[in-house]
Amino acid sequence: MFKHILLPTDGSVLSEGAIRKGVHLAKSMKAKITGISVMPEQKYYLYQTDIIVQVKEETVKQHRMQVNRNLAFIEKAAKEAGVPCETFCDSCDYPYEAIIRVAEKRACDLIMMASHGQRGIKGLLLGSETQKVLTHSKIPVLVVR
Amino acid sequence: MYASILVALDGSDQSMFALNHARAIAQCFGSKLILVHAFPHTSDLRDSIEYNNLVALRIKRGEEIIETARKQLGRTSIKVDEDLLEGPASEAILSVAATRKCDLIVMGSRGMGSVKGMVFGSVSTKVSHYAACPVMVVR
Repeated sequence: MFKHILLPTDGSVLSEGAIRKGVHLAKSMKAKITGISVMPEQKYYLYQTDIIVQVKEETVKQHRMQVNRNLAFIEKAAKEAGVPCETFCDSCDYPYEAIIRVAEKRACDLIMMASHGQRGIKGLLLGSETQKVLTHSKIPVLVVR
Repeated sequence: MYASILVALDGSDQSMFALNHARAIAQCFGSKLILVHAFPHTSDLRDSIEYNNLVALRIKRGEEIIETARKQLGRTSIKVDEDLLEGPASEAILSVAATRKCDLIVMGSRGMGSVKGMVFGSVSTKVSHYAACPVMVVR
């Protein structure tokens, strides 16, 4: 029934677990997957002094490396299982917005994500981004533990 | 991956959507479906002469909901089991999921209790927070 599963990742151990399960589900249902990792936009670098530009470039570079690592993990998992896969990087200060936007734009019919992400159990019982995706998504969401 | 799937039913359209999704997954993995409906406590009215009637009415309504769900599933090779309980919906869902060792809970995001949890139902919020297994919330 599910034809296109969105797998958001922030590179955390739990999200890697969710990716494995997502790829397995996609394989069983003959669905394709889209992996997404969201980079912060960092609008707060407003003042363009030399030193800030330098810091910004450095952080953006680091974020990009992290995102590439995250997406490479999805691509590898999908390739091993023989599941068609696309990956996608988006910049947004609120990851949940980007996740829902991409899911809708790409006509995904399921979002599958871990209960917690990088910020771990600090987000208490359910991670904050997962909670927000659950609240705002019109597409079914599967929370993996 | 999913040997037994709990479907929470409250008679709302959304819970029927949830049932459709659960069926699709069950067909794919050969899972067993457990249909669960919980009705609110009536024990505060225990002294009333109407008490037995009220409980009977609740049970009848619950059986109707489960029956509708079974009809919607139609003729299928999927194993279906049911549980009709008295108590707060979120607690009932969580306890059935725990005792029957379900691998997945599928439920609507907002069912009949729509006033309190306007954006996101309070039952699905609680279940997605406290469940030990994966939870799929369908809108």
